[in-house]
Amino acid sequence: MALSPCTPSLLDSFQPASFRERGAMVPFTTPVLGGARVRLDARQQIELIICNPSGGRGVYILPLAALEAFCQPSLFDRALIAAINGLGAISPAGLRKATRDTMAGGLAGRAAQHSASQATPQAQALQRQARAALRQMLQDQLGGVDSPASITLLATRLGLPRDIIDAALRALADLFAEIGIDIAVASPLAAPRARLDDLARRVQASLPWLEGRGARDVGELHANLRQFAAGGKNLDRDIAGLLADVPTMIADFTSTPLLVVDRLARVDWLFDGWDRIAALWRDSTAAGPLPSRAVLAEILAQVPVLPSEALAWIGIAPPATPNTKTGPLPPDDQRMALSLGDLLARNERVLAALT
Amino acid sequence: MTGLGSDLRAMRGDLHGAADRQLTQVVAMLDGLTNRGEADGLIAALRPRLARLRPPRPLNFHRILFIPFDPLIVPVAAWSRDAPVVPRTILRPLGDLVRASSPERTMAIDRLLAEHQHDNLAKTLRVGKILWPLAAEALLSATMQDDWQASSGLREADFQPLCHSIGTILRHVPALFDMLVADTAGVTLLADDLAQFMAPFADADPRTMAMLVAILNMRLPHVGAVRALNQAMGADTGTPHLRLAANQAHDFILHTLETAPPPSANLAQAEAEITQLAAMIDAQAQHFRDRPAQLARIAAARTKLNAACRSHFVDLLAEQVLAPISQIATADDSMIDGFERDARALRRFDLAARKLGGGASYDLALRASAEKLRPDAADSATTRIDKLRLAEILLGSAAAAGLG
Repeated sequence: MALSPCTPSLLDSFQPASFRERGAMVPFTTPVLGGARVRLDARQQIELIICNPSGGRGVYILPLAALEAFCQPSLFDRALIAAINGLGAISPAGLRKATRDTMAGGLAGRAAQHSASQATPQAQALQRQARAALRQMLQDQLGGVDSPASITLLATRLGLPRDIIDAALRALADLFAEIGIDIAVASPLAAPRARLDDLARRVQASLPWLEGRGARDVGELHANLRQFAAGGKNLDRDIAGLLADVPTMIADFTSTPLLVVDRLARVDWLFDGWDRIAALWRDSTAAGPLPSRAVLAEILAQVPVLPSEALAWIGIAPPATPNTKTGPLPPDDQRMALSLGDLLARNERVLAALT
Repeated sequence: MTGLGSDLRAMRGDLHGAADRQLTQVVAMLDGLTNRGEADGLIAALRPRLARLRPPRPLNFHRILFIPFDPLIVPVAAWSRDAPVVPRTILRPLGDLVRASSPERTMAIDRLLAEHQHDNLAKTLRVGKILWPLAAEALLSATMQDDWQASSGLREADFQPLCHSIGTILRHVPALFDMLVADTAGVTLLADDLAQFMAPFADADPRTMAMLVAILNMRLPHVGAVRALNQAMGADTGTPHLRLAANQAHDFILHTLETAPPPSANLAQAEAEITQLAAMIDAQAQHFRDRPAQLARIAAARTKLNAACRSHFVDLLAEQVLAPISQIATADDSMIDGFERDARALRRFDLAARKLGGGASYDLALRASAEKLRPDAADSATTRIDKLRLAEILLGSAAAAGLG
């Protein structure tokens, strides 16, 4: 759908067919942009999908270039938007990097800046571990005497230069490390699945404290989490299957790299958005068992939608009816809502906790 | 007199000339003394300044005991038998009486106080839920101490009625605090919940009832159920006994609004105070909506508070937010964190105070601060970012982007 430059359009129901159509979450700090996603439109322009700020159903869609007509982005978000505009493609991994680079500039505060500066050495260490583990797996699966010999053996078998195999192995290992897939364990998605399970446990623990609409909304959030967790389990098996035959995976990568990358990127797309919700939940329950209704409304509006594509990807069908978002807050709950300045500070804390 | 006593006397003179920050530190030290003795006198002499500074006070036995009555505590000179108030001078003798009533339980409470180092609502509740019922029973069966008149400055005849009212309310304070905690957590207080809380007070005397109504209105002025209770109690169909109590309570609240001190110089507290006072003004305006004389007094209180807030905002902006920025180039992470925290607290104060009117004057003061936050050529990249972030907090992101 083509949009005029400054007109946000409100979609009452948002049920995307694919994860890419759903867009990738951007951890903006401007309160009204909580849980916003970006995607490419038919003309390859970047579009922004914003959760309905009233807390009601539906999403707003507008060109990223028109954002300032919709709201006043924070200084950090202005810099982040500039970084996103420089991306060639939209993916959770690309947005993570753009976010980290922007955080390092300091506009989201010193805690976020330190968090970003620590992320780089951590990422490099994970890369080294992943490369070593993948070499070891290749060696074990080929029965080679050592890693160089295994690479030579596979290069010979595939009729490719040794350097190509070595580069493919390194690229794949780096991809696994960036996505957070631990190739050294039987359950490579153990870490993101555990984070999802932890959130599900926290959400479930809050249920006895709730009644009425709050209990229904949070129950729905828990049901969503269970569905994504089931998808995560299926995807875990798929990635484990890929890793069970590293020589074939490398061979596929040298011939059709995009197919392999797309398959690995499913992990990112499936879990995309949940880490921010988990960080929001933790931040807002530091002093009690429940987030305030205002935060709960924010969280519910940001729950990732499962697109139809999920059925083919991970064998999980999206719900027949889209998520029921909570309505506007009643007056007593509005009193509990934080000021914009405090929400911005809260979002910066959440951002610092993400990386 | 011990050396400590003479030290305190010497300090009295020094403290009158001490800076706010030094005074706050000294008060914190005095609050920590096990046997305060003359320290109480020292603090009493400084009370007008402490009322402005509102330094955080540690939660000891006596403070937790009387926290429920905080809104009603007045200097003895302002005490009246017809008003639902608690003279400050009775806090220590009645607190001592409660301590003496059950030494074993007092020791257990002291241990609990020592275990919980952080002064917060959780500590108040943990200790209070044991202390308040104990104190209720002690006060309801108390006999007057020999030094009552000397220590309280009141008559003998005042002892029993005060003990009765305070003891009767303390019996049910745990339930009151459950409502306050629920309200703080965003749970709407329903009329049924309030009716259930009020039920044991059905036969309470007018003074006790007036104290209770005043506490509810000053703690929960924004709650619809409390406003509905006011309406029911003040209605012509209500009993004269309840109407008398409601009138006493609302007269006292009105007087409190008229004589409210300027907002706290403690930036972290100022916003909460203004929010509470603004809600009380709204609630009283609703309660007295058919009474022109009272409405005029409420309007005057609002105007006075509005003027105090505007003037206070300018001072807070200059002294607590802009002045420390002179050190921004050498500030470490925790200092920057402090600058940003203060700037946010000031914005919260601004938002709360604007509800009383005068929005343009706040905008003017904030715009005038922009130049102090504009990065200059000599600033390092880090200082530039720190200044822009403060500008974003105070002026908004669009204005901050314009300074960059």
